[in-house]
Amino acid sequence: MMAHAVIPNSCLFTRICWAKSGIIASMHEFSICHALVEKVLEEAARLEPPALRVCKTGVACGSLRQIVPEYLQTAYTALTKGTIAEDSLLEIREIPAAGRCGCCGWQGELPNNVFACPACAAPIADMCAGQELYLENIELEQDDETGN
Amino acid sequence: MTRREIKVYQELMGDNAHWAQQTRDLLAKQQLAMINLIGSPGCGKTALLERLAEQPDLRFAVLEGDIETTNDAERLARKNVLASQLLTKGSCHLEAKLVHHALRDLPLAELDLVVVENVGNLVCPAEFDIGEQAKIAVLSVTEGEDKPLKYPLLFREAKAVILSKIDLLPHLRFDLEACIANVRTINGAVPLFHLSSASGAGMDDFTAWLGKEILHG
Repeated sequence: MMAHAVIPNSCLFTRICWAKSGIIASMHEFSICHALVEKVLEEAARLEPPALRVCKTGVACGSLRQIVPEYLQTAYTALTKGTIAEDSLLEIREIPAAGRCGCCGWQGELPNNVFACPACAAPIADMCAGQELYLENIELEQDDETGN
Repeated sequence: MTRREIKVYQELMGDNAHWAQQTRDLLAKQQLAMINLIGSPGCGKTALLERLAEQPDLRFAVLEGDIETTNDAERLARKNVLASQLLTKGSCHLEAKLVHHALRDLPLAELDLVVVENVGNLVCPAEFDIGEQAKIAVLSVTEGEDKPLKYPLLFREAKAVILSKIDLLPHLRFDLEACIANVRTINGAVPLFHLSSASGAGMDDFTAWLGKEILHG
């Protein structure tokens, strides 16, 4: 028989995350946007000379991801405030869901969350696209003098 | 001033993926299974775990995700289930880092299975890999048969779907066949269990699957 116990475990790690942003991450878009802004600023700082300003951030997002662009934008605006990416544009490119049929070999896009093969009607388990979520490009400004 | 574009490829879930992998490594080392129970608030996730506590030979602990209160962990403790309450204080889902650290606080050597009961929500928890073997979707028959179509990611990601509160079916206008067809539209081959935690109906099928696919899979 297991020991009878409750371990109250207040969410220390999430609290650290709030302290950094000052924003309650109540939507998953905020949490994802934390990683996004962090990576954009890292990439901008890594350049030689470091970027002075970030003008545009491009994100690729699979259509199976439940990312609401408006929420991601709200989070992006809030989280870039006071950084060199403040007022930069966020561009989200949607990647359509695509799959491969294990029965007949059909391969193609699967719109509208229908996961049945359009050729033979078998359920499709093998997805080849639609789950992506990555930062793909950044447009930024650098000083001319030392820029390469 | 020069404006330039740089191409990058940076996974946005990379940090979460790192912690999820740490959890997978830890589970493998301990030869321990972990499932992630996802469903709406009030769909019967905790009641299901109370039933699971009646299984004689299953040694499991629960990581209980909620925005507020330790109510669910206390409910499970009353059934002699070891439960650790994770309070997100506003966040709508559990992330891999928190789960990993909470997991490490459990007496892993004494367990066969860890059940993560995620924050009641059909949307956000489905987005986050926490290192589990299987996400399991719980849908109660009081919620309506169209939910699999409305929340496709969860039902797509789920390795099993539990239809809970089936004892209430005689009192509801719930089209069971349509619900099953909707699940099949999203995830054609997923195992589906009809379950009532109130009566215990369907528990044997579910625990048999759990034993075969998760504990010895």
